[in-house]
Amino acid sequence: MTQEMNMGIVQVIVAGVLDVVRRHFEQTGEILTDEQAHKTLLIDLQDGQSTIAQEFIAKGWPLPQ
Amino acid sequence: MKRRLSVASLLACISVLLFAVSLTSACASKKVDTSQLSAQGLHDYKADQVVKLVNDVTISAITANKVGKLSDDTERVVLTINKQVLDVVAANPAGFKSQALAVLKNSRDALSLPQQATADAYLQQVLAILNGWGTK
Repeated sequence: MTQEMNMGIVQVIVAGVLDVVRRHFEQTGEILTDEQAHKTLLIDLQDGQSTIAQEFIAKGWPLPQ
Repeated sequence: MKRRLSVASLLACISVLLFAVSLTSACASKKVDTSQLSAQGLHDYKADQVVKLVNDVTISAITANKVGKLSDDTERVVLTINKQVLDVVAANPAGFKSQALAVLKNSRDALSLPQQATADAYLQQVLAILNGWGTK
């Protein structure tokens, strides 16, 4: 009886783990929207410009036009 | 005692399995589904791939300068050209290629031959990035 209960608990745990794994891999395929694509582009452009500007400031160079 | 041990072992195995899954997923590249994008969204997405690569070249030049493998002059040239390329992409994400290539060519032509020689390791990367845009 106790052994059956243990097996039941183990089955529930395994099912839970498999569910977590399934959900995780379903989420890895991100669907990109127009808004997200545009926002990411703006962020990366800003990031690149900012990195260059910071380096110029650190070196004491006039910012490029 | 024996039964407790086997359940404990199973729980340990599950923990190891969960750890392996999280490690694998952290290392695996995330798939991006672009099928829902409009033409404009797809242009933005592809332009962003170019921007990311140009930013990598920028970081690479800054890092090389920091460790003494790239002179200040050449770093300045590479970063100035990268900024101009980013400006062109920002102004026209859907059709920046020809203008960005022109910026790159004109800027490179304006350099002295020794400067071209040292900057080319970086400028050729930017050229390859721009030439690769729109082909995938």
